[in-house]
Amino acid sequence: MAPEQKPDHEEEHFKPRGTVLIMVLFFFTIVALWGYVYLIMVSQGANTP
Amino acid sequence: MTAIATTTSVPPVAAAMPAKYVLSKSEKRFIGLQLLFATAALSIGSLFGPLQALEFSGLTIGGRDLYALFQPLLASYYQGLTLHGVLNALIWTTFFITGFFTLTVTYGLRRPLAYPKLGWLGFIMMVLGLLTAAVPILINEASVLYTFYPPLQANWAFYVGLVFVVVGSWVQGYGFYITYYRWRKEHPDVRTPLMAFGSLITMVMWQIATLGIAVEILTQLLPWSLGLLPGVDPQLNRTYFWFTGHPLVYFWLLPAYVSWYAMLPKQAGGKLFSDSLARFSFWMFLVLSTPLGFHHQFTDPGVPTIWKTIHAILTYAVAFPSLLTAFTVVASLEYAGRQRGGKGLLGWIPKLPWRDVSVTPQILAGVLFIFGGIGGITNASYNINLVIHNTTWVPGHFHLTVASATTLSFMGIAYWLVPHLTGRTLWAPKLALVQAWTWFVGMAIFSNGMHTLGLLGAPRRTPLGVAPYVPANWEPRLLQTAIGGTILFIGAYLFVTILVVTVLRKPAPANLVPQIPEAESIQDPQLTPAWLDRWAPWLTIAILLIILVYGPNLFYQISNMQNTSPGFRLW
Repeated sequence: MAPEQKPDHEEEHFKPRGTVLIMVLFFFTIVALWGYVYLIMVSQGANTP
Repeated sequence: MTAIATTTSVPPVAAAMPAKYVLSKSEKRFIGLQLLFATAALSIGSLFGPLQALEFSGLTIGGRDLYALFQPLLASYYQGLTLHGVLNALIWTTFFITGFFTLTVTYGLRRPLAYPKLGWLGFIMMVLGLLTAAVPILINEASVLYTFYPPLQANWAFYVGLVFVVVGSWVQGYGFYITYYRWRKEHPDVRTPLMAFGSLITMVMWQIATLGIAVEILTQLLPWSLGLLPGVDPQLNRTYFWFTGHPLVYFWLLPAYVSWYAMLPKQAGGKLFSDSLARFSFWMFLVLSTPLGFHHQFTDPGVPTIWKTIHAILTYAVAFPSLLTAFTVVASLEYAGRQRGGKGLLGWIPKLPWRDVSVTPQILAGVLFIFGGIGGITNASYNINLVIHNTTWVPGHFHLTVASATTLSFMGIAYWLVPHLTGRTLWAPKLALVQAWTWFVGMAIFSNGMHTLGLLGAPRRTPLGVAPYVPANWEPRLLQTAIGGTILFIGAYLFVTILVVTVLRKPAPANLVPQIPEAESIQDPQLTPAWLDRWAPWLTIAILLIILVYGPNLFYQISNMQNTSPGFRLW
């Protein structure tokens, strides 16, 4: 049997808070840029039958 | 084995894996040759990028447009665009990837290829294919762009050449599979090393996806170009093409992901945040890369709306593993930055090794890819796609994928890989950093210009510099695109120059030559659930999903095939 290895405590509990913030910003950027093209679609007559 | 995943102990490993594997001289030569062909293709293909971009600006010399200056060597905008697309999007990428995967499979599994001659056979087929396809393109007999949509008809040699390139890459893949099979027999309980794992999944995905263009060329385009078929069915051919065409994007991207997951964390001074998330992402790409090609055909009248909708939904689904990748890679970088003393929410970013010539290009590639991903979600949206369909938005988008996430990452990889293979140190590393930033800035300017032009309605695949209908509000963006394209050209040739001079340098002492970076995971990979290292369920789901969402409509299109369209040559 190989000796039991335990991950370093600090590593085990590493919380990527900065990454979560970046992902939230990324989400809002997606919404903003997608919404911008959506508004262009509407302004180009998407409501016209 | 499943129970192991729920414990914190590491299971016994059936047979110990060597800590490292030293590539033999012949392996280095084999990989190096593939990179040589890749870089040569990039250097030639990149010649035509600025020509297109400058043509957009309406620049003339002596009253003649730029293409006129190159006649008779270059007959038209479309010949230049074909050379640019085929050499940069198909040849640079495919040769780099097969070379890189030879390294990731052998080093990852710590063993040589089971049949090196099979690898060489595949490579020789790719070279023969490249030469066979290049001749008709160079003599203006195949100016059909890299999508080669019929009824545009190229010389038969173009199609034969493409078949050889693709089949050659398959043959190299077979060598990887046999090598993996033998490794697996010896290590039944060991998690597949991540760099080999990602490479193998990518190659399997590629072999499934390229069935589309294989069938297209062998049953339609080749017999048609040889006069054996009176005509072809353009709708069916577009469906075949996009069966391959969208997963082709993932064939470009996933090798970059292999580096981002399995190498970059080590290069940045940290560890991979989650081995499980990395593996899950790769499986998701295997499952979801192919069954979504109809989102490229939203305006095709021959595809029913229901199938377009299903493919649109699946296109959103494939954004999920991309988001997982973004999270895991950024978290790995955050871990590295914090190991290097970074504090606060974002204080770890400046602590990353921004002076590392391999790390910086890959991070910048990821930054550009953020916007490529956002544009991709817009492309996938059924209604909104109509705003940007067949506009310059689309090449603006895919320059953020293949020419940014992929190419800039490959440049970063080359900055350690070429010195490693040749036993040299990189020439002018500071210039290499300048090169990466040059590419980043050039692409930001170029791509923004192309996207904005697309929103203004500018058509793609069009020499806008001579178009009589260009409104005044396009002109600043056309100029922006020209400036960005010129900066990219400088970036491309800086890259090629750095590599050429590096190869020509004297050999360096072994301790100065970069080694292959292999990232550890924060959690031991042996703790990753076994089902994330099993092929059968994922492969079954992938094939079933393709049958479900492509099968009925493909069956209908084949059953109602109308080979009535003659070939057209509009150049």
